[in-house]
Amino acid sequence: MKPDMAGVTLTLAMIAFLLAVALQAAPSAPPPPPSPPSPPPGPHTDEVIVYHPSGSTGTRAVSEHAIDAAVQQIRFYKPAKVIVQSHTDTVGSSDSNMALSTGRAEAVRRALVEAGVDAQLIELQPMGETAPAVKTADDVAEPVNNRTVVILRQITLPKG
Amino acid sequence: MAQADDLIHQPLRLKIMAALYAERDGEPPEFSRLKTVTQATDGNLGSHLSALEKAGYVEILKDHVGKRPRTRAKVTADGAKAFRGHVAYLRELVEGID
Repeated sequence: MKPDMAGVTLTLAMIAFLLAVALQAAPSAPPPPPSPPSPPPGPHTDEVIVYHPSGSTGTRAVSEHAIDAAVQQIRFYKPAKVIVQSHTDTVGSSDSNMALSTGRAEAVRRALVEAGVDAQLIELQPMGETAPAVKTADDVAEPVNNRTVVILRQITLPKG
Repeated sequence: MAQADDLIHQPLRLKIMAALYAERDGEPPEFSRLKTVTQATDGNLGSHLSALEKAGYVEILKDHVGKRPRTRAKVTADGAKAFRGHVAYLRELVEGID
């Protein structure tokens, strides 16, 4: 080999060596970004409403998924307190409606706890016929008033 | 089928409209009373009342009682009609698929 060719070869070998060293010293590829938080269970509304048939602690078909929706909201927003506030229409006496709303609140609490909500978070507020969604005369079976409202208080908004 | 009113559908605005509608024939309730009825904060109640006022559903009445400023709210004829329509929609929704 001619001396100038030997010099070129040596230079190339040194470059290759230095490149190899540099690549080894280079920081490893950055870790993949953390996976985004799971999407919220629909928009946060503070309240989920369960509608009941008049005179009953059962649930109307329209509210078939309301407990599931409330549980998802509670899991996602982690409230410090969950208020279960039950109401009735004006059919019957105010005392019987207070008892009915207590039964509704207890039924909704039971459903929430069975779905995994911590019972310690739940506070019952039976309201009887005292706080209708729509004011009516006495003895009116107003479907909109036969409801239990699950209210999330002191929620934790997820970061990001 | 009655139509939903998107503005009234929001839970706090529905409570405000229900309270104002219930008292539409009497003395318009003061801001503090509305706050108690709806269990809203000052800011929240104020912003939703403004939205309802902008839509023409609510009239805000400001005056003084002696030296004390007073803010009251009153449902308008358009607001009362919209509220009745929305309640009809809710009623059909709640009862409709049992």
